[in-house]
Amino acid sequence: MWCYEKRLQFPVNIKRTCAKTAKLIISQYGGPDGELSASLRYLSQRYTMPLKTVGGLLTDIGTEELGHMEMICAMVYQLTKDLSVEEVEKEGFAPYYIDHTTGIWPQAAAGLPFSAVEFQSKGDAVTDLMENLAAEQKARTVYDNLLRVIKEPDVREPLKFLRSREIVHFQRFGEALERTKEKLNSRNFYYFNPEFDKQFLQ
Amino acid sequence: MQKQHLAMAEILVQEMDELYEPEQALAAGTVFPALNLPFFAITEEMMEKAPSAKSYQGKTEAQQKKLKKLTEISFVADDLNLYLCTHPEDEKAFEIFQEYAKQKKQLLEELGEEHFPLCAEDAGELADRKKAPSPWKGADAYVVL
Repeated sequence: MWCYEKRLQFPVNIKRTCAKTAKLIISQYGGPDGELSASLRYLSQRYTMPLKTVGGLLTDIGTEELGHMEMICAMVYQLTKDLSVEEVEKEGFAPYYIDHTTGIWPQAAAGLPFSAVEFQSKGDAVTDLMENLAAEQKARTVYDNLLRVIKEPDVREPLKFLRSREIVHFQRFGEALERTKEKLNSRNFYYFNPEFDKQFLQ
Repeated sequence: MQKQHLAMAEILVQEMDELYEPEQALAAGTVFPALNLPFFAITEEMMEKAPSAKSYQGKTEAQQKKLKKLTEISFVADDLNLYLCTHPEDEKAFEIFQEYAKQKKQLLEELGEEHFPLCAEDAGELADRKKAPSPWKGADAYVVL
């Protein structure tokens, strides 16, 4: 059950319109390694996790990612809200604008629409945690890439925050993996899948 | 010392050390200095300086300051909550979390009473429901009735 607090986890305050930047940032909304992808990944995996604490972690991080998605959308919104038709054409925003005006729609920077094929929920605790470790690194790399090319301080502030969160999440998923190992056969972690072959669980 | 195995990844389990103060925690993106691993393209100053009250929504400076405090306190509670998910036996961390959670609850109530409610159930009267600005509109957002 989800509750909502009418605030952002970290403030987003972008005073200058820039469609060029918005086109890049939107990847962290609808892109393969974006916050929506992360959120659905974790919120999908949590149901079948053998350890309650890991299901709890997936719920809490999945929820935080929704808050991050909100921040990214706030950034795209503020970067495009006062766009003129001339700016749309000059800043290469026309293809997106044709189908969405300055509405917010989940797609990657290169135009690929968001899709469930961009994340996995494999139903194997070890595999899913590895997926999540990789996901956090991929997201961190996208933020690294954005921080290299975007100069505007108002935009860099929330990006810097979001990047830090990826590293913390990576650490937590690593710890979840260590906890999960305790439930597996310590001589052979791959002997059984704790989500399916429950007869082997301690 | 964690036991090591072939064909399996291992991540060191964090042991809680010193914590940042809430303002610096928000600036660094974590309450744990040990997990603050910044990118070369970000200046040190950016990792230490939290957004000023002016970056927050609110019609008055008092509102902005309260929202700033709430954001920072909540963030520490959030980060500690994740730590507690993977360290379910850490009593000390839980005590610290409870302190911050209590402060957050207090600030949410104060914000609701003095300025605008952030949660539907904190509205004292019907008119309160339209007081809070849409959070995605930035600091100079104002209430549109």
